[in-house]
Amino acid sequence: MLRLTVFTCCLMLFIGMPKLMAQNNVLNKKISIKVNKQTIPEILKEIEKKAGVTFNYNLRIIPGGKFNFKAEDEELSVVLVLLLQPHKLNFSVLFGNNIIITKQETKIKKYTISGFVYDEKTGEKLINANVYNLYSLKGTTTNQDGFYSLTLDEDSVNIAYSYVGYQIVANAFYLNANFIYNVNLKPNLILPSFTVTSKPNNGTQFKPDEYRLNTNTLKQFPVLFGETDIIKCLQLLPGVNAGNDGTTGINIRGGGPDQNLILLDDVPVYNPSHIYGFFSIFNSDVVKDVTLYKGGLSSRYGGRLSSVIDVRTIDGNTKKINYLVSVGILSSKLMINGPISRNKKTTMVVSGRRSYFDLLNSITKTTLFSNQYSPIYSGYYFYDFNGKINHRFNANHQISLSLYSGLDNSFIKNSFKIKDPQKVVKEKDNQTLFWGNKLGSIRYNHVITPKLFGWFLASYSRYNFGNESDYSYTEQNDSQNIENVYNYKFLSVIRDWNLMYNVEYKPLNWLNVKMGSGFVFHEFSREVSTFSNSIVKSIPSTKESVQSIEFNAYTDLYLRIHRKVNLTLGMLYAQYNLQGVQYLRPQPRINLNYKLNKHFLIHGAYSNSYQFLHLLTSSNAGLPIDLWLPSTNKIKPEYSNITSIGVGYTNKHIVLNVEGFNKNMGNLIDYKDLSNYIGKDNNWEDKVTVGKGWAYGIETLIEKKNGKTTGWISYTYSWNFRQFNEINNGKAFPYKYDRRHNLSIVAHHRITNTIDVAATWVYTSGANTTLPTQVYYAGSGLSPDNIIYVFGERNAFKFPDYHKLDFGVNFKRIRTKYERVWSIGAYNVYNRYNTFYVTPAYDNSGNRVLRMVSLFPILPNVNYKINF
Amino acid sequence: MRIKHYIWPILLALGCRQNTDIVLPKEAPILVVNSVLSSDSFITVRLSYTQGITENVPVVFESGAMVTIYDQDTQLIENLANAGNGWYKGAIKALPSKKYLAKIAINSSVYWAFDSVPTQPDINITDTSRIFFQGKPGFFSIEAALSDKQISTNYYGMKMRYFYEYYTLDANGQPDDTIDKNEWIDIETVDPILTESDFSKFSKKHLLWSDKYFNNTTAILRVGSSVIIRNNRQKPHYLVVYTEHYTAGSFQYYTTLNEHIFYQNDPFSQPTIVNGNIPNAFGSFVGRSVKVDTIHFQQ
Repeated sequence: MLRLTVFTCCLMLFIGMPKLMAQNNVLNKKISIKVNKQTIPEILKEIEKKAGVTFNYNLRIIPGGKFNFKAEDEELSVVLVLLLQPHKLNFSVLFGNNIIITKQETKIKKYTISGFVYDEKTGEKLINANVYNLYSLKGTTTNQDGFYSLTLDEDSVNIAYSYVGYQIVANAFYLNANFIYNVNLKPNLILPSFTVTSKPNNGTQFKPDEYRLNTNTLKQFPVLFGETDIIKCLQLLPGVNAGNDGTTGINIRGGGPDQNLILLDDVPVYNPSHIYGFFSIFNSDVVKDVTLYKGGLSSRYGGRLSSVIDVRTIDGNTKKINYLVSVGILSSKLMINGPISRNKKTTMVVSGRRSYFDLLNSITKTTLFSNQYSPIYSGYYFYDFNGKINHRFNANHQISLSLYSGLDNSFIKNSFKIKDPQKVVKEKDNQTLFWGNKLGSIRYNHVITPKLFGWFLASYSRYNFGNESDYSYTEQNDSQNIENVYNYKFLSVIRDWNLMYNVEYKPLNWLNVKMGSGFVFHEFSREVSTFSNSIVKSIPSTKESVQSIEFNAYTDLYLRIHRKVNLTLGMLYAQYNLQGVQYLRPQPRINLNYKLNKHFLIHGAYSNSYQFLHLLTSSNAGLPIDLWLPSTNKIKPEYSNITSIGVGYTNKHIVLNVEGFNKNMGNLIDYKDLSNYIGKDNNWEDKVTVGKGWAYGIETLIEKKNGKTTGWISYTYSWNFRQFNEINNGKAFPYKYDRRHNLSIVAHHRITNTIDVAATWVYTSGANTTLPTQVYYAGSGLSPDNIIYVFGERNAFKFPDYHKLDFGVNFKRIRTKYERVWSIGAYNVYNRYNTFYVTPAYDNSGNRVLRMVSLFPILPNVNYKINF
Repeated sequence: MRIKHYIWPILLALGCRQNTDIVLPKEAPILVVNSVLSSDSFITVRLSYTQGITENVPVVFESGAMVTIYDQDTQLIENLANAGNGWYKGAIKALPSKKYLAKIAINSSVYWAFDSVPTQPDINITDTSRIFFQGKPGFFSIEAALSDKQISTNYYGMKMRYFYEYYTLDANGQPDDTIDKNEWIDIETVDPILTESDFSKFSKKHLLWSDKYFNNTTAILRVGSSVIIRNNRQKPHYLVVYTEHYTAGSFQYYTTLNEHIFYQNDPFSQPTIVNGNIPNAFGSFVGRSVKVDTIHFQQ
């Protein structure tokens, strides 16, 4: 009722008043009136006397009853609004001092403006661009496909389109029909803004649990080894914990790294790391938009407990073919991006990146672990490839094919050969450790009606890791030929096939419905094969494969139940089947925002999530020995309940958000105290124990969004625990990612339009670790080779606090035909020795000590990038 | 697969090291029992205590304990004599296939341990060595025919100790003196019985395996070493091959011991525990039998 009242007032003020004013100023006359218990006609008579006007109306539309009414020195128009509007009556000046009173039309016509928002320069669709009516301040944002749909009342409107780093476009017209309006936004000539919160410039609501990094912001971060890493950028946000030094581990609100759903163009990525976790697999030049959802999760995202990292790649330049070459210290990149059809409806993106540790190694002939008889050559490389073909049939239909392939390979090669008159001896020994992801997807988007948008996705995701050993020894002499061959291969693979269909429906301006359904077919396989020509008894290769099917269906209702209150209700229904084991898990989610005034917002969220896959990890570094395992009859799905509540403040320049959270988790798994890496053994369920975890804390973010200097400060104060019956004697212990304090300061300053500097400073409490507290000798001989460590309580010790400063400068030259950037900077500027791990060792005097090993000292970097 | 072997190159290239002062709480020392029962050997027990990880002091031995050995029916066999430095020695030889119970009393605390003595392994070793010229790569190998005569699970182990002469040089680079040396050596094998063992992967110096692939039959195992001769100042004498037969308890103790040592300085692994068989104390009172073969190198 209140909503309608305000709406009517606005309608009258915006529509009715100007018309009246155009005729004469009779409504401007100020009067005072106070009546008690009188009918409407009696009150109108009183007004006629005081204002010198005449009212014309049909008595049948005047409600009965007696009312009190008071107005003090108010214009006649206001007096009439206050008197008539509650009774759904309109008024207008008929002629002279004659005012006609009519009944309000009960049905107001509504029309929908819809379309896509593009980058004018490249033709890329812009995600999360703001679309709002400057008159009524009602608005929306573009979705992940750059599509918007805004339903407004019939009226004069002025629709503004804005996006970070682009010039605003506004278009005023009278809305009296449905419009399809595609907009091209022009990039700012100066360097784009450096911002992370989702607070738009105007109109739409602030989303406190949602952080966005677009390609322009990513370009301005300090880099490590010449690479901007999106995961490392996300680590600077509140509630996000990095894990170990230099790694791309991401632990959100007390969760483990496996509890984040990482999507690359909607395809799940199981291991997003290169080089044992020091780089992520995401090539920042291909990435268009990254969104981190860490609370109030949409029901669309299922299967993980903590967060969603949604990475979107570019669709391809529709204007011209564009080449990008980037040369860094450790890797180089090449990207080709542009239209491949004459009508420019089909575009493609091809991008490749490769490291060259191994090439440098082969040039310098560096060998490790070698001796004079058998030189050992070791090396390491990674590569990744992104490909995308995008075709727009018309404004309403589009299809895209995306591919990703990446591999990390670490190898040790050893060989020798002897040839003399008596014999020829050859020996070869090759060992490799490898892991990689392969992703592929076909996505079809279509605008069904201006209010209804749908998309279909078929995707495939494969993650594998393994190691191989090939050994051969041959000897030929006068008397005999000897040949020994030994091959060993271990391969662990997880494959997902996914089919899903989703729709977004905006029937009303205050209601947005998102729903969808899909299937995921998981296959977990492990293969161990051994071959030897000297086998005494045949040993069969083992290949174990387990399949499971997940069915998901969800609905999200985004309700603007009041101009100050936004409510999101979501329900995800997930059904998981594995070899006769079935789990049915409805997962309710709710998100409520209450806007106290123009600047302040109170928000709260609750989400319940289930995860049917478990990651069994034995390290802090996100190494590929981490195993993905399915839920079984014995190991039930992990679950979490996350509650958060907070206050946000926004104005034109500043965003401030303070939020408390509480998270409970169950059915978590970990290795038992006695167990370690699962390799050939298939009895993994016996090696793990099931327990629970909980975390709570406060997160704060303050961001400056405008001006030459921008950036943010984030601080998290939190606790994080785990408890397992068979670990630490059943006592609760701090989780390895428990950090009491976590502070990040990110600053970016634009010196000129072509030179900018950025710096980040991070401070966190030291990581938890389990250390040996006592030693003893095994064997009565007290041999120092047989020293046994007695470990203390799990994660009972803390590393020294962690802090470091990264710094970078970008020198940009923009010409009509090309754009080049020199990036110069340093990682860990003041050369802080942050602890990577602590291990017992012996000092020069032979005394046993605890030795701290740090990973990265100060690392300067230079990167050159040219785009033409 | 030992991950740190792969990541070491990166850590070596980039890593920085420094000793650190982490304050550890002082914990009460815990009794450590070291005793191995071998057939036809006197029963001996050595008692000591744990010490703090950074407590660089000599090992503290227990000198006031009462160590009594019983049979499986708790019939007294003997009281071990205190020989000093934590040693407690008996005067009766242990017998194969017999079970023993040890009672260790220290003041008011009593510790119990129980295990048996297995039979000697039935193994026949053949020298198939090929010795190359001194200073050149060499690969020494043997064939071991191991007969497993029981249907129940049996556990085995093998170690090799290498004895050699080593020439020292004078200031002019001429041979000066010879020193007798010996050391445990890495054992290499491509035999799946050994390579497929979940236990052998933790130590090349101490192979451990069960009869999973040759139960109640005879297995021919090929083992050797490629690094016996490392330079021309070395003159090999002989190799001693220790083939061991374990009880289930001793096998578990040694496998967990090897695993613990394998992982103990690996930052990418969880801590592992050595499974002793003495409640409330560390160490073990376990049985094993050893067959010793000596292989003389051909000159």
